[in-house]
Amino acid sequence: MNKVILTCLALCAGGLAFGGSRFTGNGNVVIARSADGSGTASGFLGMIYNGPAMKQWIGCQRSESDNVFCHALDETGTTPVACSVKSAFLAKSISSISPDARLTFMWNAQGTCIRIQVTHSSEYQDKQG
Amino acid sequence: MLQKKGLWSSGITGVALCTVLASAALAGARYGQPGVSITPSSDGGGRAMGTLGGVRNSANTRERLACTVTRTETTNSAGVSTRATAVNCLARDKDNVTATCVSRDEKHAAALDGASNDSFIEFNYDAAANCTTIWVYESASLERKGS
Repeated sequence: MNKVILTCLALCAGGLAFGGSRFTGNGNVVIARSADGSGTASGFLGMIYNGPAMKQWIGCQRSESDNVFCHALDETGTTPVACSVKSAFLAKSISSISPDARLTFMWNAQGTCIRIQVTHSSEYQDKQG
Repeated sequence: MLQKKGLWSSGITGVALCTVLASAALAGARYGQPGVSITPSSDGGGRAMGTLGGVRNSANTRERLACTVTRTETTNSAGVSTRATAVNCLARDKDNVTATCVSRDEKHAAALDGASNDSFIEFNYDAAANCTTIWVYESASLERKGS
């Protein structure tokens, strides 16, 4: 029985080695603006939270009326970007954002959110602390 | 779903015992599938599954499991909206075997709306790598991601 317990403890310790594949980028907020006012913003929520950068943020919200609002600021800290829309379709994606997700949103020249992308991955760091 | 996929059966014996023992000393029951499990079918399709926490914490640097949902909605000047959904899931196990599936079906995106940071995700795919079924499981017992 002792051998079994020791084996299990070894397995547990092995499990704490945290060796699975990792996303190797910094996860920072990246904003791309087009000349017509449209653009895209993306970022990795957990990595941004855990990282050393102090200015950047990215997030989205929805209401019970399917109003959607997304905004982001990159580490330059100069001009935030934002979009909004009333869309039950896009609001569904807001509900799937978790603390470790990669979030991307796109807006058109009128500042209307037109795309929301959410990725859940074992490679993405969860929020710590 | 869990019993159907053998979560509590033979494949998990060692880890299950480990987690039960650990739970006795720490807190509630813990479950982390040791990594990505890919089961090809004879018809070219197959099934991939794992927990995001267990895969991240696995003992090698190859394993990964991810799903992306992209929803796009544009409205023209006449007020007519066009919607598009894209789902992509991928997995790679410890032997570098990969599996992927894609879908434009909103039902698959809806299944992934429930995914969080430590979900158990299973995706089934056909020979053309189309997603056929996606499961998302949440439980108090699922292993959390390590750093």
